[in-house]
Amino acid sequence: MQAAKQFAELGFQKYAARARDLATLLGWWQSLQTGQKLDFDMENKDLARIVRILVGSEPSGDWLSNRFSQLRPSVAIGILQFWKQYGHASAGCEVTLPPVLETTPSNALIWRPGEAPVDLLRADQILRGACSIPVDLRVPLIAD
Amino acid sequence: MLILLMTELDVQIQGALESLRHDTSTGGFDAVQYITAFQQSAYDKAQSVLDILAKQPTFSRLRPVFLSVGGGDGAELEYLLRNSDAAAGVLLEGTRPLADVARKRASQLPIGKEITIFEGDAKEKIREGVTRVNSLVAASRGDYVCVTCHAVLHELFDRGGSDFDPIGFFATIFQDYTTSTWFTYREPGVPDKWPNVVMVQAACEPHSLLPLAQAISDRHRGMRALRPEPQVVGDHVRMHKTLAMELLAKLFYLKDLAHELEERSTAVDHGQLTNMLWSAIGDRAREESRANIYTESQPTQSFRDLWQKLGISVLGMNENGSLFRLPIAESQSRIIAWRLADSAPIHGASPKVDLQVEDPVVAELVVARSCLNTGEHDLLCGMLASKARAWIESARAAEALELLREIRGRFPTEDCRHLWSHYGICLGKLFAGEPVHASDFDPEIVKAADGVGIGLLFEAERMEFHRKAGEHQSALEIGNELIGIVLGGNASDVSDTARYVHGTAAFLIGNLLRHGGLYQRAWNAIDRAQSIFRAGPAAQATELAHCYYAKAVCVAMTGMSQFDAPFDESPHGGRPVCECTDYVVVLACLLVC
Repeated sequence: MQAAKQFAELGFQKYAARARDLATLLGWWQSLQTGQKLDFDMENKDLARIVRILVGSEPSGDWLSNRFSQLRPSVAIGILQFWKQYGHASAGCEVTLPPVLETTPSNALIWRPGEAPVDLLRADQILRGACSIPVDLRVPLIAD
Repeated sequence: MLILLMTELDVQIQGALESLRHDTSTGGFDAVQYITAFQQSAYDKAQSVLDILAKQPTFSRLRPVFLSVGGGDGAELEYLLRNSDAAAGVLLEGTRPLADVARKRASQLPIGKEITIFEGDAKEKIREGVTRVNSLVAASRGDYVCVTCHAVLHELFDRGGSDFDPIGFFATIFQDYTTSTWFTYREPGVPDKWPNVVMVQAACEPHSLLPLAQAISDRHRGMRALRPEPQVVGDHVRMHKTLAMELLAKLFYLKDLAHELEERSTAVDHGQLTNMLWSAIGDRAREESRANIYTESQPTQSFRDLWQKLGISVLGMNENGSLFRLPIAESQSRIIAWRLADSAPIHGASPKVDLQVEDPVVAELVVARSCLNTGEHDLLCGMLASKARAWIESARAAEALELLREIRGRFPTEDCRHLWSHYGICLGKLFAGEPVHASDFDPEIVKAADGVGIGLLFEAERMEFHRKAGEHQSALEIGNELIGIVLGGNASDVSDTARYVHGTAAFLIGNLLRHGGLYQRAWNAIDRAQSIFRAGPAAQATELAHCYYAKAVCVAMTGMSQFDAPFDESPHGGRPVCECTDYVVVLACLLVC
């Protein structure tokens, strides 16, 4: 929160908001670890709703599938950690993956779209594979 | 058969033109209904004024008395009063039903807040309004006069009983040297980044657009004189850019075509009005750094939405006859002009020369302003290239951005001072979390930047701004073209500017790669950037700090071990470059912990 405050004082509202989001998510992570009940309310309403669905405190629906595809891949992978750690009740929900970059044989870059919805386990595997992130590596929750 | 192929827009255009033939007057125009449709827009404009004032070092500490020129039903003025500590406002409005709505609003204001309404043509009532607000300041109902004029000036050219005399109008606003005055207008105009001849297409037949363009030409003599005359060329209609902009303005408001046709949204020449504003403000205040004018141009959200909805496409033509797509026009320009009273102490307007200050940015801003005033072209350009990038991430960012806006407004696009200032302003928007548009770095300005050797930097920022605006495919297309140029070979960068350009381009490619999840390649690109930068010049040192952050993210996401900068040290030794990058590093710490 200190970083958020200081970003805000400098007028860098976007950085400030991201720092506040991160601080809130870290707080939630710690609270979930200790079994506390949360209201899951934060400035970034979409992010809050995604986490609520992933940890099973809100039913999944079409909204998540579509919204998930708009996340940056790093944020998608980071936030899926809530499901991996605390989200047993949300098993069964499906998401469309965000596009990731890949290199063609001619060494050009292309966006590989997410295509059909997949379950969360598969989503995590595919995204981590595309980004060369080891399956068990703990990564930042919302890295940019 | 033809009817079957008609789109909804074809039908709407035909209907609007047909209604013109049957009813040449605007007698059926409902002003209240018309202005009600713009109520949210009035609130947005008011909020943008409050946002700008909050960022101005001097005026943010003072209490305004507002003068809303042509402020319709008073929605904007009411919002300004309710959302600031101002106690008094004056409204000039020429349409009685709207003035009546404003009177009702005035009667519902909280105790201690007041609106005075002068009903009549703004050209004739401006003197009365200005006298009133100046007297309110003299009576301590506020500290300065804040004049807002939103989408009004262009109407004054064509509407009302008398001719519009802009210089006289501005002189009236700035008539009292003993009162500090802050003035802003936001008006549509001719998109100066478009070539003179353009090809326009919409979600309709070009043969529907053509008569609409001709109807505009028929109504306004100046439009009739423009060349080439509008003509269907394939799927497009070719015409002068001024008529094209006018055509779009009418197309977007077909329902009120008869009313809209009475005015020209392109009537305002922003360059000319800026010169007139300086005349009205006077040289003395300018020389004493008690006055300033700067410009901001951008498409409005509603313009962007309608552009998309109606499938607008505007093309320019290269010398070889091939066509290229033009960005969404900057439909509105905001001009901000202010002058402090003779007696006012100068705070942020122009720091007095005192180079023994602790914050080096303050001293640098003073030197830059001095260069601007004395015309030291090379020194100013050099300072902007090597320092401005750090200024906009410092605690003095607001002052720096104000100076950059002033510099940008004073020089033509192809001038290095304009280009570096534009660069700093656009990056400042990015950091402030304001919406950014790919058009901030459109091909025209990239071409101009190429003329002073910084085309690669601007092209890379074009990629970055496409990405930030959510236009990922366009960003990638530029990225694919840049990667070989930036990351291939062993280019040796002789000058610091060349280092900055090349290093930043490499860093921005790293951003694109990170966004897409290619962290190893991103790490390599950032590493390349680091190897190009040297820590001495402030601009490069700032980018270096961002490199350390970006690399930290790559490491955290992949578990790579190549981590080469301790967080507790400034990346280039000595004092940290700027406050923001210190916190970027702090944030990086938070991310990886």
